[in-house]
Amino acid sequence: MFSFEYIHSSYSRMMEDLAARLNVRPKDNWLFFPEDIASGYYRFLQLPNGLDVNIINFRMNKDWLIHRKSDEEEYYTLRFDELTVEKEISIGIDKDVVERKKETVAVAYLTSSLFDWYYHGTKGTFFKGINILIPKEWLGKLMGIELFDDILPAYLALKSRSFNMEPLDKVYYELMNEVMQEDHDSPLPNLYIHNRVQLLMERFFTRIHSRVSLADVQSNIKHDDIYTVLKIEKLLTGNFSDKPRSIEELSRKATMSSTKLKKIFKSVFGLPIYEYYQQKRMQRAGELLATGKYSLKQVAEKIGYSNINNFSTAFKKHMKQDPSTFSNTG
Amino acid sequence: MIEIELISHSYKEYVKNVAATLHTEVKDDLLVFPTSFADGYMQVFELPNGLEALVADMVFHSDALYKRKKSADYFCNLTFNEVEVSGSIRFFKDGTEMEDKGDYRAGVALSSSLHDTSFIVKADTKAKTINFILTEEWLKTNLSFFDGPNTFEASTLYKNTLTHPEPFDAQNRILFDEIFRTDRNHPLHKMIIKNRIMFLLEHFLSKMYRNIRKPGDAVVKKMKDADLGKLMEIESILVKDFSQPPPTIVNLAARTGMSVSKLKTAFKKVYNTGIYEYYQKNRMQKARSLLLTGQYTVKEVGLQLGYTNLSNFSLAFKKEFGILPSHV
Repeated sequence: MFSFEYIHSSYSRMMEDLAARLNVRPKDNWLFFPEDIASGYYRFLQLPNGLDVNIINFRMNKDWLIHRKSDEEEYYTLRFDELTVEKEISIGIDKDVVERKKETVAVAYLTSSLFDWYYHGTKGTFFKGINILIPKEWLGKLMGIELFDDILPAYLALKSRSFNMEPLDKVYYELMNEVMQEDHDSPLPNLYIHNRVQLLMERFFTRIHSRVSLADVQSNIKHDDIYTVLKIEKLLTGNFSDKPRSIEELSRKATMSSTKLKKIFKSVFGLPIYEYYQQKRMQRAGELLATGKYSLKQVAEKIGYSNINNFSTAFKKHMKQDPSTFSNTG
Repeated sequence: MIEIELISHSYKEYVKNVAATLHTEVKDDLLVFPTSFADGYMQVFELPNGLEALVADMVFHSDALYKRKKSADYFCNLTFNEVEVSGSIRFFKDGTEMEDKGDYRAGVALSSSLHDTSFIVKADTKAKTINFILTEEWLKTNLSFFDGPNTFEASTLYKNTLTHPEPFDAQNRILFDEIFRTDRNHPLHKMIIKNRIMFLLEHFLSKMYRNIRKPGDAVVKKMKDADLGKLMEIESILVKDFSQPPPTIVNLAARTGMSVSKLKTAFKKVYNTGIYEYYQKNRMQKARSLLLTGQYTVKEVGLQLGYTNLSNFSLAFKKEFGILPSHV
């Protein structure tokens, strides 16, 4: 059995480790497996935008286990994997395991480094894949999508529902094949690969976005209204030291009637506007207390309480704990 | 008349200069024009490969003169544009004037810093443009076939395209429209726009490469200017509104003043495909991109594209992409 365990936020270091483990030397970031272990290659590239990409294409000649251990540093792996299984494979994410026998598993999915992940397969498995390593800040910053912060956790939380894997369809396959096909003649090989990897990512994230955001909101609220309400939420919870904005002001900003705003806000966030505001405010107080840097009085002021007793009562109501004990536990 | 000059190699700088000329401000690389100058905006997108793209969508309310002096450091200006011309556009290349009286242009233009270049656009002109500045340094590091300024200057395909743009092909058209159609409220819109821009660039560079390796006559050389302008107009009519059946070829021919057979041949020469094939291909691409947004059902997309019978839509879609629309 061949097994390889790793914890890495860099595919080039991972390739070095794998090369050392196999006792081979990669050439221009191509690693060819020794025949007794596998036939095929493993390739690393870095895109101009800084993302690490692995391209995998081999047949295992032994039983095998590839295991990424969970890590405290948070990053994501976007996987487009096609596994043609001769006998069986088990796929594990965190504590969930899926077993498949004698079939092709062709899926796109996102994993988080906070959870263990592994493939444990039998000899004869064909493994073709494109994996992209995505640092946590990257999605928000480079793609300019703050809203994703809200959606991504929801997606990852779905891992136990059969991992939320998306089957690869023809469009994905075509892009994957284009990335894998070597074109020595291409005048711009990097641009060519980069563009297709970007498109794979775009397609994946667009699809999660529309599915998760719609799945979370049962009623048929329009997309535009959801975005408006997300903006209002940012406005409402952006600053706790001043008095919260009035519903009238918020509905003016949203260009919605106050009835409509209240209704949509509640179905998106699950709470009425001010209850939600108060909950976030107390969470913020909790975060501040947990840093251990501020006194109770300072925290109360920062979140807009002039009276400590009022703050303590409110805090206790929401967090089921006295603020003074909260700061000590942190 | 408002004068705008491109001095720096950076569109970020350029947009700031334009904002100063117009006494307004740039916010997040976006300049919304004061209505005295135009309705619309221009916006800079930083691309992952180190380039910047400038995207603008505007209706001029004032005449405008755009200038670029020749410079010692070589760079190219690559522009994809679709323009409904009011009056005419006057071009000046090293002092020589050329006037384009055609009322519609949709194509790709390449010009370089080897020449003083300027043009005057009249009020009421509508323009959508996507622009790149390709510096010599960038070209050297990114293109295996780039060997100094002569590389591009020798290409037949993009010669004189400032005045006579190379007409959009189907791929250009699809990407171009998607860039302007992307919903700015979509949280991924920047990524979607950048990806389309990158594909436009890739498509341009590969075409340039093929042309340099195997030079052929530019499409524009094969045809009279007037005819080419009319073909570009026909192309824009075909892709404008898919919910209506396309005009008949007889009807289109009448608009151009060409005979039916001449129109068919000319269209094929420029766009490498028949008129209805071109229409249908773009219609299916539009279907696919609507489905990919995840916001519409198959039925809604079919209806938007003028299919009253869903199974006809599904069959047509399958013919183009090999999968049913419900599987997108």
